Amino acid sequence: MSQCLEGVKHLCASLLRCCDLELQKQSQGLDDPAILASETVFSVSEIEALYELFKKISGAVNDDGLINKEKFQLALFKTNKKESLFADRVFDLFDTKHNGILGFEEFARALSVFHPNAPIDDKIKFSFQLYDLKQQGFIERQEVKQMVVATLAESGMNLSDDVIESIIDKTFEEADTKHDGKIDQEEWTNLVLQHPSLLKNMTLHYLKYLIFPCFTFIFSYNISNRMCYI
Amino acid sequence: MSIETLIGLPWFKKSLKPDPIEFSESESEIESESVKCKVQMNAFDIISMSSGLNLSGIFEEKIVRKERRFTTSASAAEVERRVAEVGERLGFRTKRMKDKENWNMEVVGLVKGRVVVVAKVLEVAVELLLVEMTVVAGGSGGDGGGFSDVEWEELTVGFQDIVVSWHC
Repeated sequence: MSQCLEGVKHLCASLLRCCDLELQKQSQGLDDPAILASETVFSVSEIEALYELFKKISGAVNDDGLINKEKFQLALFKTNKKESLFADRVFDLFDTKHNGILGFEEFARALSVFHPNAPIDDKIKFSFQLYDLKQQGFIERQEVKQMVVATLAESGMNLSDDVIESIIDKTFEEADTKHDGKIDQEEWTNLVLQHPSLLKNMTLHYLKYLIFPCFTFIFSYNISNRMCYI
Repeated sequence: MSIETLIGLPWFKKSLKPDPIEFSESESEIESESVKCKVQMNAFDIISMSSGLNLSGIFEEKIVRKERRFTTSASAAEVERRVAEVGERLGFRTKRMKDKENWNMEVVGLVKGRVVVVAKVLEVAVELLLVEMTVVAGGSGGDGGGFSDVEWEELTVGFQDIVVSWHC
């Protein structure tokens, strides 16, 4: 009898160790905000407020407590029909566990980089990884062209191939100081220090106002934030 | 006092308003010729315009248009003149400002009460300029400021004849 029970316990334990457990852990409630707070630029209250935002985004479509690419696109563009090379790259960088979904921890850690007070080195590193499409540790000319073409297509701007090539030529002339046809992290850092506006997307001023009563009301009570002027 | 009442109070609304002003006022005269007004865009400047890289949408209830861009083959000086003309007609005051994040390049600010629109002129290619108009503060377009479609229409209609094409 006891052997049987042992057997059942053993079986259950093995089943639990199966795929779902990881997912379950990821979608659990906020365990200890203090840990995340200590590892990001956020305070405990900000982590809690961020969690409300996370719940709101992850609650769209279904409520598995996680953010997949579709929910991410929905949050960003208010439509899940918009494909974007860049939104995909951002999602992939947020998804440090590489399982196609964002748990709260990944969400908070990634957004920490976008805080106005986050170290600029983190922002420089994140933006470099963003543009390093093939993740080879350097940004190739072909990757730059791909991104320029994608942006122009999205904005409806029509530039001839010659003009695009000339813009990229000039960019590499300035950025590629080692003249090896690629932009490595060091060259990227130098370029960005010369052109700080290249990092403008790496800062989200909203993150400074997470704990304003306005935001927590919106996220937890779903009150319209029409009164929030940011 | 209910939460709704609190949110509605003017002093409360005001206290929420941050001021990430990246533009500082320039001392130079409005009439002075400004050749420094255009800065050459590099490939990454163009890439940064992509909406997929702008994560502020996750904090906003709906899409707020804070920026409109158009390309033009007019000269920078002509663009500046036009911005001032259109601005004046709509009751804005023209103010020279400096873009701290872009080598302090000169930009034209239009100010009306708490609404500030900044027009930046960038060179995409020879004889092709990109004019970027950004609502830096105020506007009734949405929760986070920005202009409504009507406000944009009012502003942009004055540029129609020099526009090669409009871009998001």
